[in-house]
Amino acid sequence: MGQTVVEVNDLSRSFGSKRALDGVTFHTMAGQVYGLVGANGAGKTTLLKHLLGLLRAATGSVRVFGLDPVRDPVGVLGRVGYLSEERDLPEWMRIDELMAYTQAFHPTWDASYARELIDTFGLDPSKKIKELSKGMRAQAGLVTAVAHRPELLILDEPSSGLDAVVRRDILDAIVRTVTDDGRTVIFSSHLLDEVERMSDHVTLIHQGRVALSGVLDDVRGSYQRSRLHFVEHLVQPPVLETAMVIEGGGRTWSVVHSGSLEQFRRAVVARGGEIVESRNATLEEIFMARAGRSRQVEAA
Amino acid sequence: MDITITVTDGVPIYRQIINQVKYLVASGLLLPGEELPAIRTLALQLKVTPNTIVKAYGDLETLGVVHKRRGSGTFVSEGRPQLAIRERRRVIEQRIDALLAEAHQLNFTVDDILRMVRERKAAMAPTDAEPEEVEK
Amino acid sequence: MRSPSLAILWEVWRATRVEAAWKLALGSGAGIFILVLSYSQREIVKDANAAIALVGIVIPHLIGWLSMARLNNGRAGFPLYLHYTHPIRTAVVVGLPMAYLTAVSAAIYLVSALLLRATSGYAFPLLPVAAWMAALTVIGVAATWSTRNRSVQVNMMVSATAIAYLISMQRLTGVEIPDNYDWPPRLWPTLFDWPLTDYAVIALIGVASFGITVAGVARQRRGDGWAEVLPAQRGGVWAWLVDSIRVPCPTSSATRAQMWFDLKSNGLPMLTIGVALASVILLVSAVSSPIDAALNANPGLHASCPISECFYVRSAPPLLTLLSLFVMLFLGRNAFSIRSRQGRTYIGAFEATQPHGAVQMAVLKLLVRSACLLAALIAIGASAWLSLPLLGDALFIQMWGVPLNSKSSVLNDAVATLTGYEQLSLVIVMGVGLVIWVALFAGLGALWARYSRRVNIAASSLLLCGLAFAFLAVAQRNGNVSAAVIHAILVAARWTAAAAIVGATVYLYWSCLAERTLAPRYALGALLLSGAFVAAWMALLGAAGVQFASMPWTSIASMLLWPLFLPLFTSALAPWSYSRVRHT
Repeated sequence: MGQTVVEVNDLSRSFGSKRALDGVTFHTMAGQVYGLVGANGAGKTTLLKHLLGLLRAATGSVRVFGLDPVRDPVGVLGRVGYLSEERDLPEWMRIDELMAYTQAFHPTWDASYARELIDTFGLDPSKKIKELSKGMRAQAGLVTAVAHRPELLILDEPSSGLDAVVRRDILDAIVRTVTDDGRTVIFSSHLLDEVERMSDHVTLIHQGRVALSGVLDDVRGSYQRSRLHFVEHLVQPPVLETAMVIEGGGRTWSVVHSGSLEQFRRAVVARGGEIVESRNATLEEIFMARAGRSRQVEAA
Repeated sequence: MDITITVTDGVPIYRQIINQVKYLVASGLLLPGEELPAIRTLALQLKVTPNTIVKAYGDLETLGVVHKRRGSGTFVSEGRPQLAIRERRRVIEQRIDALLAEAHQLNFTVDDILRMVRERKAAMAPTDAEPEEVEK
Repeated sequence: MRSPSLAILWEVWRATRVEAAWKLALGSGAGIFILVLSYSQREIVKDANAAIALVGIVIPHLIGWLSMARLNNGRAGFPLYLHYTHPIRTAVVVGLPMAYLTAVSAAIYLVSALLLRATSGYAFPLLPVAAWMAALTVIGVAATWSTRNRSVQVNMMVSATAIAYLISMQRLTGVEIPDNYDWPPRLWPTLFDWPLTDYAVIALIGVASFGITVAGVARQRRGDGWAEVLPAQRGGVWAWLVDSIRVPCPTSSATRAQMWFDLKSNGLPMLTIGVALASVILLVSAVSSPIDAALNANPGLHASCPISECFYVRSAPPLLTLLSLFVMLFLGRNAFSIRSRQGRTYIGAFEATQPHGAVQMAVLKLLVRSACLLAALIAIGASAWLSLPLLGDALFIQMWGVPLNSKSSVLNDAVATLTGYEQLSLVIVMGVGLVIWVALFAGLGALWARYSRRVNIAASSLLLCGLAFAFLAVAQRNGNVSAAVIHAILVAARWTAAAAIVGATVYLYWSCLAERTLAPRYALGALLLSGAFVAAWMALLGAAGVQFASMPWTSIASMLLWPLFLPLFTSALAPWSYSRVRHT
């Protein structure tokens, strides 16, 4: 435990004129679950592809298990399990052939575990990949990713487009990977409640930069959502220093703010209001504050 | 073990687990010496990351609510939990603060609240024995 | 866009404009090039080259419109299916693109023929052939669009092509010319002066195709018919071939598993197709003699045949052999399995994330593909060889006036006189040459996938240079430019090309070794292989009569430069470009 698995330093990458990643630094420790969130096109998939060597680092460095994934694909990919966003699998292969093929590349393949997973998911080993539904394809891809007990599991949008049953299978796989000692999971997702439950650390990528990164509870602790009540009826949203998103109208306003609660209370009181209720912000509220477009809702 | 987790009200997940376990022990739904679910099992059941469960169990052990037996699992401590006075006061004080804020919103004075508390207690079935007077 | 019709026409234009430009450029460019090459040769060669040029400007129209097919991911069926939910009649949405594509095909042919007329002075046929090109295009479009069943489409195309071939053979061999090519350019005005009934027939074909296509597309629009078959049962011949190879995947080593993967998904199906084609050649040869004899004995048919013995079916096997060679080389083109979707070219994430080094993967794929291709080509070659005696002595190539059969025995004797060393050299040259072919295709394909804009610029500049040179040659023939200038340009071009390939090889190797993609022993191995290739090449040249002892070293060097550097260049290009595509 405590050993660095992934070390990304000052990574930048452009596609033509579009800057996909801009000075991204991302470190992961063994045995933890890392959630990557961000708007569509923010750069999450680009970052994950750099970890697998699918993209070459233009500036900065990428090291997985201390190795460069482009120079040493065998050393890195042999210990990594990957489920891609498009669930890319050869259409013509049958499921049992897929298992045998993947097994040849990973000496640590656990055949009994693979069989157990296939039974649990209810997959028919003689079916071809092109005959499978979307959820079954995700399940087949998941088996190839976890059955060789990888030290690092990378999941790119694992729950996208899947029903609740398959989603639970994937979450189960994450849990199992982590409880086996020293294994790390990195996953990117749009479902923020899933990220909130399943991550130890969360990293928000916005327009190619790391907007915030840290232990999930610390991140949530540094943002609060407060309900304010003002004496006078306000037409414009009150100007408060550390406020990031203000909603509401008239006398009642709801604010997501960062920084210390005391400082915010003083600012509110100075403005002629009081804090009715205050709690830690949820990840969705933080996400909307940092990565969303600003919305200031006027009273009707 | 019947625990539910919600991510919408801002309370950290490990804290919710700790509070609920404490409640279960205090209300007798978890008996002393009973084994808590394994970390992996509870993580699968609640669909949360195992490290959260690890943290919750660790904090519960520090508080003396549970104790870990090496290799076999986590068990509820014998005897009534010796929660620190400060801990117990803190839980109730949080509720009182919320109650007072609501009351202020709805224009009740403190005396009104105190009267209503006694009324509600009298209306409840008088089966629960009062615990010993706690030193203030 | 003011009306739906304009919108549809604009859409089809946008989809096909690049392909139309390429068809025009390649067709006329190749034609001009061939004509210019032969301007100083004797009459019979000029005639043959003119005929080849004519075939060259016809061929782009036989392959159909690939850019339309790509809209549908290469599957059969109506490609503009996004219009099904628009308020537009099926007849309009089918008729307009069909008319556009037909008109553009005919126009491209007309422009190419006019260009060739201007540069060579021969009377390249205009309207009659253009009309038939239009007919073939409209049949091709109808075959592809009216049904989603790939086998129906292929059958329709094959029958249409066979009928067209028979008709053209019958018309073009109508006049017997002693010791000359069958259809020399001076006879073209009369040969291609086809009756007006042809136009009526073509119009009829057009209307029938339109009707069939509208009916088929209407069915697809309603969701009826074969479109409803489950994807698992659809899949065509290739998928069936892949399925029928029931060999379990070896789990003992990654290399064996990858070999199984490449063999099952690509190599063995390709080999099976090659063997099937070889069998077809043999079969057709076996039955051709009796059929031709029966047809020749028929007095009604024989009256239209000017020579004593006309070739109907017997002319097919050699052409089939040529066609099979092209098909096999086409199938062996994408050894790296680079996919193309919505304009994006890439290697699939599944293959790219297998823990296998880039070089090992590239070399393995190339070797598997080359081995299967070699086996298929050998099968086709053997079958062609065996079929020659079956065709009988009457089949001959008119240009040389020598029967094919005896040509084959000449070949036999020539090979027999080679010493063992020289025969080994022949095998080496053919084998290594094939690997170089596959590797070049794959490497250039990967290069185009990764750096498509730069490769497009380079390719079009090369094409422009070639055309400029062709026009220069024409000017020289007309006396505007002196021969010395042409010679100087040729020499300069040759030296530039040599410097380019040497420089490129050095750069690629340096880059690969610096990035540690290649181990030094790989470079050593490639060097040894190139050395063997050059030695074999020299041995073959010696057997062909080249006297190395009496030549100055400069000409020896320039003769051996390309055989030495081509394998080296390819051995660096393939892993470098594969690594670039895999690690973008």
